[in-house]
Amino acid sequence: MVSALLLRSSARFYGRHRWQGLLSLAGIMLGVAVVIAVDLANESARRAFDLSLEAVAGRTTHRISGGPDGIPESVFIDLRAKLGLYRSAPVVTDYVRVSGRSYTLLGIDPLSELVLGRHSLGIEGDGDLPGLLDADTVLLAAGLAATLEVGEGGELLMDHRGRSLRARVGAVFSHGDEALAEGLILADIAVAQELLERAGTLDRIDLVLDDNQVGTLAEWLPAGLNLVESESRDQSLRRMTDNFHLNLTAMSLLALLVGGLLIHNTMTFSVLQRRQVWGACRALGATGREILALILAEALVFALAGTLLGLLLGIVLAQGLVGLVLGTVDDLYFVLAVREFYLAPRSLLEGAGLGLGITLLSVLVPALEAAKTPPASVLRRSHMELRARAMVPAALLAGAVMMAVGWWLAALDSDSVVMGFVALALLVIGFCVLVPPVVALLVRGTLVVAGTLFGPLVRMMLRGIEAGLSRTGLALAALSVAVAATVGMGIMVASFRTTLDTWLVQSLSGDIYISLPGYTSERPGAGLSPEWVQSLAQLPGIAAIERHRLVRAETAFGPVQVLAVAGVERRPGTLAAAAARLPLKAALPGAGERLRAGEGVLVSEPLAFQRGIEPGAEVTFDVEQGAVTLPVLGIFSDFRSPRGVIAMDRGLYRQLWKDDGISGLALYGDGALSRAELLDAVRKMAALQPRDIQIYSSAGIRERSMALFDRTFAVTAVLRLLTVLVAFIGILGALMLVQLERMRELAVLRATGMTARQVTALVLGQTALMGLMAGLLALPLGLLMADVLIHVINLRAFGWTLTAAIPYRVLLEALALALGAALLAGVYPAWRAGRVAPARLLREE
Amino acid sequence: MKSHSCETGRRAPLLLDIRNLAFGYDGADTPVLADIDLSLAQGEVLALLGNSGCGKSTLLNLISGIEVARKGSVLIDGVEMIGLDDRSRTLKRRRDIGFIYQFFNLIPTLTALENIALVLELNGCSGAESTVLAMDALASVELQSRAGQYPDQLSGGEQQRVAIARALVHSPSLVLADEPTGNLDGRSGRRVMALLHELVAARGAGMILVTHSRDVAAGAHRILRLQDGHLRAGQGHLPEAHPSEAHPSEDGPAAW
Repeated sequence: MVSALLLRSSARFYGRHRWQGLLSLAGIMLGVAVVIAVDLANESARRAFDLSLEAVAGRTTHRISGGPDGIPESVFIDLRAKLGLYRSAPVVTDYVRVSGRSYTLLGIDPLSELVLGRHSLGIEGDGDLPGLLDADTVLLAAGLAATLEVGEGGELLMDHRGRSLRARVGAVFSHGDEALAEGLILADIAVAQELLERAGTLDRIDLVLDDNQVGTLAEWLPAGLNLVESESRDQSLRRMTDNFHLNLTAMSLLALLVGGLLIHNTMTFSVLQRRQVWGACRALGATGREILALILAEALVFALAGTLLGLLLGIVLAQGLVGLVLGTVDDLYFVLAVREFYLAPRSLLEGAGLGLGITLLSVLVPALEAAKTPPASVLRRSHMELRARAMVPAALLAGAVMMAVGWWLAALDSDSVVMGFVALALLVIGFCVLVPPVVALLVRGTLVVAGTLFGPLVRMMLRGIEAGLSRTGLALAALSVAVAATVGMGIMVASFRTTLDTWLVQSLSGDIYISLPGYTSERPGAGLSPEWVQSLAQLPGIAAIERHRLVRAETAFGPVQVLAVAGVERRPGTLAAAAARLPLKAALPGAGERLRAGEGVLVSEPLAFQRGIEPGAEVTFDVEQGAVTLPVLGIFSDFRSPRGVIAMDRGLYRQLWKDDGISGLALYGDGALSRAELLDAVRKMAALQPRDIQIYSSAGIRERSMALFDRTFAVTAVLRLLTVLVAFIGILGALMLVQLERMRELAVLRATGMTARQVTALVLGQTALMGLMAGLLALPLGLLMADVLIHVINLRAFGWTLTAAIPYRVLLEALALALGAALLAGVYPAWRAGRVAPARLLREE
Repeated sequence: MKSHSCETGRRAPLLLDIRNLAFGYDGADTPVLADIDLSLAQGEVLALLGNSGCGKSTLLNLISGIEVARKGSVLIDGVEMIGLDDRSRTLKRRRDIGFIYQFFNLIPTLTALENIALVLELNGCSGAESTVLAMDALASVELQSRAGQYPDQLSGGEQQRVAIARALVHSPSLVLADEPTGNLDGRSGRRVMALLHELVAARGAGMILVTHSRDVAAGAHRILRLQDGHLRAGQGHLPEAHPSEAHPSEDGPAAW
């Protein structure tokens, strides 16, 4: 039990030191808020992902998928008539855009769905199920109808790959889980086939199969079709998004680490500040355990209040963050049918646990120290400083060992992302341990080397830093880590950006690029009209046209994009073939020629990394002619999709899938027309086409790609900003407290003849010096973090090798940030030090 | 001060018995204290004289268990302090010892009344009981009107009177006073000493008074000198009258 009077004494201490209390609270609150916000956003995205999968696939065991042309309808009829597989349902689906947002148009067969027992719809109003069968009629969930402001009988305008579609809303249905149906536009399969121009074909057939049926079906299945387990397909997608979520979680934990360090610093400070009180209490008869309980009780109050506020702030932040996270998942992986914010109880509990745990843990060391130390030592002022100084060699050794282990782990040949983060965490924590002793050595070294060069004021500044190391050391470590995090992330993002830009320049050698509007997933379809492409080739000013096809196909590696490329046709030999512009990371000898000869394929780097594919490996495609196995000729650098791309010659593609479609073109000018004139001429021709066609100059594509990149990394930038904010508030508090505690010492200096201006300069100079040290120390750690992020984490999580680029702006910004935070922290104490009458301060003691 | 029901203030014939006590700080060549033999009877006031840094305060810290010796014996009320663990020493200290410091060591965030009540609460008294007893103690040092003031709102003399009330409120058998007037002017110092002698005598407690002032030591029953870590007999006397009567008050209470 803690004495009520001691508790009251603590409450009054914080009443008198309101700023200290508020800064402790702010540290806990912000740390918890960032973790909760990221976790909630991640959970929302995960749930959206699961619900989206369920919404478009339902709970089935298997699915049959086809090549770029889909599955002939006859297969479904045969499944039932010949194999008796009644628990099967055909699906036609694609993304459509309504009011600028993507939705899934899902075409289903109502009778099959009844047998399968999914998509049970509670029809509202006058709508009835037969109404679904009317031409151009779709169904909307009540929530979606409200979002799109369209009611039953209303007209829905959709955009499908540049074509405008009109449909009537036949009924508004309510679904048990509104979120599940939120992003779905339902239609009868025949209506969907008509709307999506896919008459006679299906996208997939969903099935519920037992083990015997799987064997029978696999044997019977016509060539070119794949039978895949629903779960394994979903798993491979989930694994990729999981890595993305892991990255975000790690960044939020970094914010919590910085927050935790600062909480530890503030709490340690508040304990140290009252060492005389603890000494007096111990001398009066309070046991060590009672002092420990009192300090822990104080911390618990802060932890509870800070965590509660952090939870509330986290929920608010998460609402903003969830849009960014969902947007990134949309851009990179999968168009989500569900976009609802999900207040996951698990995230809230985890965040609360972390907030309480870290606060209590951070105060445990100083509390135990205060409780264990004999009262006579507590009463002696210099005890803690002596201890801190005595720990310098041990801290140097411990920090160095931790960093060495972290470095060794990072260098290990492993593909574990988690292990990469463990290595990063060891590097960061080891560095935190190293900062105080390194600062002590730096100060001592400076004093020894140049002690006589500096005036007494500078010598006092330096000695003051070393003398207060038990209080300033952790604040400096926290500031260094936060600044290093901005350096590490800044370099990583800049390297990514530079690598992507270089890749775009390498890949985009054409002058103008033409494609059909597509969304995340490339779907088969009619593509560009061959006649139109032919007429385009006759356009004056065009030297050559390069055609390519990009479709999604099921392979043994799960769904991947197949990129069919071809050499330039009009002037063969004048320009390098497109395949040559797939920057190769590794290849078999003569890979370029063999690719053009259709003797093999190239695999994109992310896919190769995820599946451990190396040049010389084999990849099998199930096509109409049966299973075709081809050698992997090389691995190419690719940033189109983290899900993976397999590139092959267009001739080989046509041979395998009998698909002559064209997804896009690259036009090469002959120099007769300027790029703008050429662009204008092509746009005029495109205007005559019945559907929208996207036409960009290579510069335009670069611009769009970089904009997409920036959007993808917006969430990273926000997290970086939040980490800096946590550090900034923490460092502000820590340095402010250190300086305010020195007020009496400063009063003595004033009394001995220092002017107010000199004292102000002393305080500001000291905080600036600390900021500069933190900033300088942050640079090597930042570079180290960037190296691990670029060469370990990014590679293991996404399979992208990036070329490190170190923008000096990032380094200078980091120094400015550290210096700015420290200077700002010094302003108030400096102002007070210059103003307060020394007599009053000296009397207060 | 009224008596109270809290678990405090027990008596034994020989209050303090120290044998062969020695103490030195880690790494120091010469011991701070060596071969200390000292006893104190109930109701006896012993003054310990010595120059700064001679180990007077260390001896008080060793007696109260704030500091621990590796060699020798310290018996208080028949209980050996040297062998006790920190918790037991602390419990013994809070029940049977009252400590007065040169720099008062009042808790800055507790009022005068609460500073006194804290000792009673630590000894297991209820909040209400502690408040009543603390108010009595405050009255005995003539500071009832300052009950709600914080230490930084009191003068040095007032702070030391609060510290005296705090040291005596739980009726300890042994009072240790470490330079109680060292931080006060002459007049306040004399007032504090008179009050201290009076209250200690009223409770029949024994007191060790550490000082470097001959005037302050003069009121004691016995005077010892601490020199080079060894105790030597000083010029002591056993007054006929009570020490408080040997220093009649020259000023009224308003001078505190």
